[in-house]
Amino acid sequence: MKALKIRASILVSVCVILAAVAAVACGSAEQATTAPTATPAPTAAATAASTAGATDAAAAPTSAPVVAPTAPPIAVGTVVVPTRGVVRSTAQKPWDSYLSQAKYGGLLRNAEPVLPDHWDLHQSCCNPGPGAARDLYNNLVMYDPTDQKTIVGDLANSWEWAADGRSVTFTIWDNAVWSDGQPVTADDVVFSLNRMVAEGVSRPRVKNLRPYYAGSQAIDPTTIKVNTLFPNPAAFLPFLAIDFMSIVPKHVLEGREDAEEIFDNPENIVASGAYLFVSHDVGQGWEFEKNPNYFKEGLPFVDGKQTIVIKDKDRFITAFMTDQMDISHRGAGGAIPLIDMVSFKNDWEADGRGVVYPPGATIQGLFNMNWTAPPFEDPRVRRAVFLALDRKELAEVHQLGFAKLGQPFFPGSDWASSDEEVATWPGFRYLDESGELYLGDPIGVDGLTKHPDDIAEAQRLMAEAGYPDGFKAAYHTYSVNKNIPVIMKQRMQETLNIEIDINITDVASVIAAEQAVDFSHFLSVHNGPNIVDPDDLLLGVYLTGAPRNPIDYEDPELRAIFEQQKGESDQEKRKALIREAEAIILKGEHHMIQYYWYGDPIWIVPNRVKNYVPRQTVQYGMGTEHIWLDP
Amino acid sequence: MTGYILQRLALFIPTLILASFLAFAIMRILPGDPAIAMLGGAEGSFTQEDLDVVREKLGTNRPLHIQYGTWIRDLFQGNLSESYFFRVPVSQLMTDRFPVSTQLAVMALLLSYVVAVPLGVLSAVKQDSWFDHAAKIFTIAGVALPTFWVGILILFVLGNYFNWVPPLDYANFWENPLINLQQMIFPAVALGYFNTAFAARLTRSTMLEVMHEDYIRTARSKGLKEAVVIGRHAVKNAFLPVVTIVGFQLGRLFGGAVVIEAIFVVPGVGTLLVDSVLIRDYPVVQAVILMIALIVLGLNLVVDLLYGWLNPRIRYA
Repeated sequence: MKALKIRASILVSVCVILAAVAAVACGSAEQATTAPTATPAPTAAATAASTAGATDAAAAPTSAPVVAPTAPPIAVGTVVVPTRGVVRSTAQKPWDSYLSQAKYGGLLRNAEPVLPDHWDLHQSCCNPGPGAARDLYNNLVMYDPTDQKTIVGDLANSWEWAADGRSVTFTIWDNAVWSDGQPVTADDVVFSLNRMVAEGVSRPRVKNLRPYYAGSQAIDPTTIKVNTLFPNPAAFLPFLAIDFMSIVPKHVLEGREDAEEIFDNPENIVASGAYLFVSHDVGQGWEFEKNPNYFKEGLPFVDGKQTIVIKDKDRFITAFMTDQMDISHRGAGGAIPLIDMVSFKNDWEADGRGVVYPPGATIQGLFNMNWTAPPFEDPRVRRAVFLALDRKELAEVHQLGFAKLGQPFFPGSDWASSDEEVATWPGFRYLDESGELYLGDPIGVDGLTKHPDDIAEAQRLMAEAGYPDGFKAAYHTYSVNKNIPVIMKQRMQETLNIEIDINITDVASVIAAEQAVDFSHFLSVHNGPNIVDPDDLLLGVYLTGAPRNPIDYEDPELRAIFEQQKGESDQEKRKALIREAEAIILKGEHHMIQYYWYGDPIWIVPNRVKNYVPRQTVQYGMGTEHIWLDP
Repeated sequence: MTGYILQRLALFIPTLILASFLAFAIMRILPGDPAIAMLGGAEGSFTQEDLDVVREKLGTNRPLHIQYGTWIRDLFQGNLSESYFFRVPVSQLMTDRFPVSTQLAVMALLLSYVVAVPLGVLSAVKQDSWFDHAAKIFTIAGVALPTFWVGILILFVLGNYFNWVPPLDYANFWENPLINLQQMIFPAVALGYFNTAFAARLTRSTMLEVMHEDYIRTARSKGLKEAVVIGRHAVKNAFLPVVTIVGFQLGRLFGGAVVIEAIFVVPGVGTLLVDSVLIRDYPVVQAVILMIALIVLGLNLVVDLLYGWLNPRIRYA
């Protein structure tokens, strides 16, 4: 009997220990039972504002916080660069439109799935850099956070182009100060611009200024004249507005041996931004506090910003489900796969908790063909693949339909052709169940089949090129893209007898193979443009010297058009030139085929977060000075 | 005993040297390039010239034997070098992260033995009872379920049924023990479940074996009470094999922490290792692997010595 008591007491002890452990772990009763606060449903007007603003610059929202109960994919608008000669008055501050509605206070808790590569944004390759550090710095100009399309001043309060279009003169705010108390001057701007285009050091994104920037001079403490390499460079200001183009203090960085390292420790950053650095737990998160001396009077609205790095998708989602986080400002695409995003979005929005903005379509999914060796050295073979490719299937399987067909220039923007036009292009055509040409975006539409004429033409070209029975080809890519070659393997075998051997490796191996042109047939990558401007794609993908064109393919006609359009100040004429460029790319003889446009970020915005507008590309709009919390 | 200790130490040092070589070589053999990772990989926008600049800066364009030699030389000077990606001394990262993972591993181990030993003993004593069957289900599930899945399940239950999940912002145990325990207890439970199950199964089987030994029958025939028979004679002897797996289990816990830390956002060495492998941060990966190897080897050495001390037959063999 005593033995039984001992056994029972052991069992009871174990239960007590477990219960105690659970009680400690669950924290106070208050914490355990706090339910999410119900928030009023956003208005339909706000929804309309968010969607209309994406395609119509004139209808850009100017005041109401944009929070929609259900958000469409982010459409792409054209970057609006204020007309040359127009000077923004210091009395008309870009942030005046929302200042009066804002609420102050609170801590903005930001969830981030990816670590920043650099805190010195001139050295940063990718958006996790500005995702972390953008709030510490200012640019000269930026995208208006209320529409994410219009270029407005950041440190600059006005700018004016010279009559010959060869220079632009900026005036900066005279009350801007660095975090060490020194004034921000024109010398700092000149130093920063020169640092951005420096050779022999790593400048992954800011080097985008090199094709335009000729030099700059400080005219007086608040005036800077920037000379350009050719008149009226249309893409110069849009590039200058992306989040990597930070203005840094000359007095801190000039002449230092460790100038390339010092700002990569955020504790050392001296900047002028809306927030000041507080702490950084390496690899885990960081915390900022409001800059009390910020030159934009009235900004920022929250007292501080805390970012926590969460890489696991389940933990990421749970953090929002339990109100531990306020926003995923840079984007949650690195943490949450599309399939999980869809179910989370449905649950989250059905509960009226806020908005999950699905990814837009500003990243290019594309594959290279080694055009320097058989069989792809024959342009007919490249065109055959171009025609036979089922872009709709790729988009629906790999992107669950969150994509647009791979037309050459930003779908939805002024540079693009309409869905109806695209639907008539060889290689992009689909027939409906009645055999009629489907005129519209075919993605997500049931019952469509690829146009047989495209397949027939592709087969004819293959036969003409001497490959009537197809050939064997290797396809090299990384695991994120794995569905693409799997689908292509089946379709290319069926239509052109191309037998694809798939080689999936890590990202670095694929990129190394791309840069060294160490692939025999297909190699797929993707391209994330910085700005919605043709220059970005022409210099990034289509022309020689482009990062996505190490295989040095160039169509001389396309180069000629690039040279013509890059300084064209008449937007309509520039559009017409881009139509010509589009026609050249649509010959399908390039070194690459762009199968679709897709997006990566997924923005989770609870109702309590106000004045949030998703941006068009993944390389800007990561500052949060304009956001407030509605407790 | 001295000879036994020397013999074990003689094996310890070459194993550590081999571990250092493997830690260095594996990262170089595996595909990948830290320069490409630092330039953003597939997300990046760079040319071959950009790559060359970064490779030169990192020193990864030097011959492998030079890189290995430099690393070993620095190690002997107590310098773990600097992280490519985090740009802080690796020693700082290790100092920050290892205590967190150690706490997690120790908590998981303690939790598992607090549960496993009574569970195994009671299962053996009450063989084929409902308790034994229930314990069997619990332990077989623990052995069968992947650790990461248990972690996700815990997160799911907490989030969905209690609308509560552990805090995200890590708090040091010595600064805020309550928050620290809230953060660490569930990862420890998830991490320790396998060990609990494994140790409970082992305890049960060794207890059953011991319970049929002659000396137990003798103890009973002497008229000793059952509790004394079990507590003083059976458990003590049955516990010996269980002790020997502690070293192995602690090593395994460090390995398992890689996934659990990511799920529960615990800033330990596991997340550091995953981050560093993904971005090919060679200095960090090498240091972490070497440190884990050192810990596992050290624990095994201690267990070997302990076992030799507990069981003289081992050291005379």
